[in-house]
Amino acid sequence: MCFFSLLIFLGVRYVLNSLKSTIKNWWLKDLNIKQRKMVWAYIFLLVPLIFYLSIRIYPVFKAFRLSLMEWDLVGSQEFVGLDNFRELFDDAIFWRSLANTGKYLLGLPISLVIGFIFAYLLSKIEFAFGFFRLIYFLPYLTSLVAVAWIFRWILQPLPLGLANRFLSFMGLSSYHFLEDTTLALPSILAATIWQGLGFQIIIYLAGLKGIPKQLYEAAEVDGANEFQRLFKITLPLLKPTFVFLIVIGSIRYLRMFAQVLNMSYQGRGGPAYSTMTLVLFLYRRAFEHFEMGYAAAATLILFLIIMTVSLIQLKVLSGDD
Amino acid sequence: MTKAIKDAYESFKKHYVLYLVLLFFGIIMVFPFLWMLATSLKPQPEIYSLSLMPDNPR
Repeated sequence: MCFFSLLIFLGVRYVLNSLKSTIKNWWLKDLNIKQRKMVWAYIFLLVPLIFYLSIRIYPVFKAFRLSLMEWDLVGSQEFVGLDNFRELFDDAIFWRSLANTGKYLLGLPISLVIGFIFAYLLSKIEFAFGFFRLIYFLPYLTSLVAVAWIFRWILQPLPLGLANRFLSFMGLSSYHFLEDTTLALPSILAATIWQGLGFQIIIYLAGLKGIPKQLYEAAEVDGANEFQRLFKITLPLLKPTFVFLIVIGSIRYLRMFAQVLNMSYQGRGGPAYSTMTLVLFLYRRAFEHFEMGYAAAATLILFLIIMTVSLIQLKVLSGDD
Repeated sequence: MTKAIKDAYESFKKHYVLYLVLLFFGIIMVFPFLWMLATSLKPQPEIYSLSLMPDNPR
């Protein structure tokens, strides 16, 4: 075994060495040192590029092609033109899940504000700072599915759920959070915000640490109060952090899937499709109904939406400075 | 060393309201984990009880 691996190693080294000398003696003969360096850089860049193209880009185009086909995963693919898209735009559930995805996106500004408040408060303290940072970061480290199921337990009807027990303890009426068409979506959104908070707090804290102390000292000397310092120094200088969090966060909220799959009634985006998201919609179409072409068409729409949103955000938010 | 403790105490005294607020929300953030830990030690009939201390740990 050891002998064979040594043989393979020597063989690979021989091939690489001969390749290197070929490149050196034949291709790079007439180039100066700078050009040679460039060529080598491109040769080394080629390896990850080929990997990226074959693993990421090629399947994407495969999916685009699939959106024009009809395929049930085992049979042969059949070209149907734009029929999948026509069917998709007539599908009420698709529009419903698109609208729901828009509603989930509303969680982003809420979580940005809450995250900023906590990060701002955390940046004020010194004693036990690391302990509090750990506590607030803990949910982000936990598996999405575990968090979803804990929240499922918290939101159960009366004899079991923590939230309802608390409400009845306070003398308020109880709710069927996850079985109610108006409450189910905000409940799932709350769990998602709760989990994403830690990541935002860490990024905000890094941004707050990056603001030079002298600015605050100068402001203090000039007699600026806490709010003036917050609005004139902290918020403007945190703009790159906001841009990063908004772009990352909106992609996260547009791709909501695991939370809904694990928290919604029977895991199907119910009740009455009120919590269905685009990703869950296309997942169910692809792997429960085996309509691959149809699901690929929905994926293409989702891709276009995410790309447009991200491009607009990058353009608008990082434009002037 | 004593100076570090003194500084920490000064910071705590200055921001004690902040600490209370952070601790309150911190408990909200940690409670599900404590409950997860407690449940992992509980026998089957107890899993829906709210207490963080299992009556018959296994």
